[in-house]
Amino acid sequence: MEDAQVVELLVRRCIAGDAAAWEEIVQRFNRRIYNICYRFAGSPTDAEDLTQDVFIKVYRTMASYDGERASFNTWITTVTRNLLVDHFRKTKNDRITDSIDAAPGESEDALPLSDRLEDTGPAPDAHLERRETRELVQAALQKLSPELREAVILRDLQDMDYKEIAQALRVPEGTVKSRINRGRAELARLLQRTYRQVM
Amino acid sequence: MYGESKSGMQCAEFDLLMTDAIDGLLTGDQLSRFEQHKTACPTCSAMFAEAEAGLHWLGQLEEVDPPVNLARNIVLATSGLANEGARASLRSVVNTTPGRPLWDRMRDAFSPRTIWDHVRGTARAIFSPMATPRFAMSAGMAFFSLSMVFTVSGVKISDLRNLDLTPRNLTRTYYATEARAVKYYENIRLVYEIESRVRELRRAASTSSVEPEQENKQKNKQDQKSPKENEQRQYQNFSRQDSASVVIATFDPGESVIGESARQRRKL
Repeated sequence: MEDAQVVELLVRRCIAGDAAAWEEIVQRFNRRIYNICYRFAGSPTDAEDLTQDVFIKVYRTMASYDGERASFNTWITTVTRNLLVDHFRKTKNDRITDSIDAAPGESEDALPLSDRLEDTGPAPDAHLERRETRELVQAALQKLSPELREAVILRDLQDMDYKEIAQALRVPEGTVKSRINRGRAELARLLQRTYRQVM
Repeated sequence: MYGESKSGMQCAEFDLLMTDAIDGLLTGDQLSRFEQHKTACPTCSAMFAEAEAGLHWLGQLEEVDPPVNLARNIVLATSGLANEGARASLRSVVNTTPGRPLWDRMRDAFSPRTIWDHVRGTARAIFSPMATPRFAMSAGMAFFSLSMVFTVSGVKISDLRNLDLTPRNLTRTYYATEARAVKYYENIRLVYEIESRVRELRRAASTSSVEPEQENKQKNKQDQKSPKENEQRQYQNFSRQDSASVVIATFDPGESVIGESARQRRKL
């Protein structure tokens, strides 16, 4: 049996009131949803809260899921995306998005990125360098507009195909491709600028 | 310029094909036209390079591990919602999903089991908050407060049993209460009127007795003032006498004016 069919079956069982099926769905999807939330929100605590909210919403609205219109994977991505956009709007005033020096996601108590990159001490080892690069990319990702960010996350980090992304974001496939191109290019420009500042 | 056709391809088409080109999905003529446009158009070429670089950067990001207890917390958070009501509504929606014959859907929707599930689910949704310790505590406190009020005010529950709640008695009670309220109001009004009259009479009596007293007081005040005025008058006369002596003294050639006036003061 294919993975999509297994999921469909689980959904049906869950709707019928099978608690074990619901647990199975949570086990299958929590990692993926957490990663989308984390890459979008940039904070582990926010990502955890958002993931919980996503699953609560999924549980409550599962009856509205129509397997003929889209796969469960696409549907849960749509729910996640809607919740993330709501969260983005709610926290718009609280965010400090002016500087790339703003707190990086994975280690919140760490120094600003530019301070760490300016370090003239001994060269860090490969592991530390990779970690810093990841934090730098994550920080740049936070600088993208939500439209570009979600498209890039779904395509380049979640490996969704363009059709699925178009369904999840409810925009034409051409728009999705355009957003992905612009998102990638904008990200590269931001990172180049950061490197130019610190070098 | 963006939007221009270069090498038989518009910039918009290039933009559309860029993702496929990066994914390596372009072949044949399409690929060659794409490459030609990329060489001819510096804007699109730069955009392509940046998009590739961006993809490379994004490749650095790895999947992060969710918190260990995340799945467990989610299941716990949703277990509170897992009541029969929610399940009943879910089940009914499944049974009435489009695509099935209308008769089957109607039969499922109005089957005794579905209706019973709905009723039970609704009842649970309404009464489930009452099954909480907080609600029980509030209800206990309310009962205790009411019993205290009844005890203090002398109301007995057994008395309430003897109440005649027939419509006739209720109407009579209503009119009796209304009459009592009107009577009370009228009584109060009478009392207030009498009080105000008495107050007016008192005020009138007090003003008549006060007038002669005030006249006497004014006279006394004038009498008290007069000795002072007399003194002032005497002093004025006296000073006139003084000045006369000074004028006289100035005609004496042997003494100075100051000496004469000083002498006069000493005599006084």
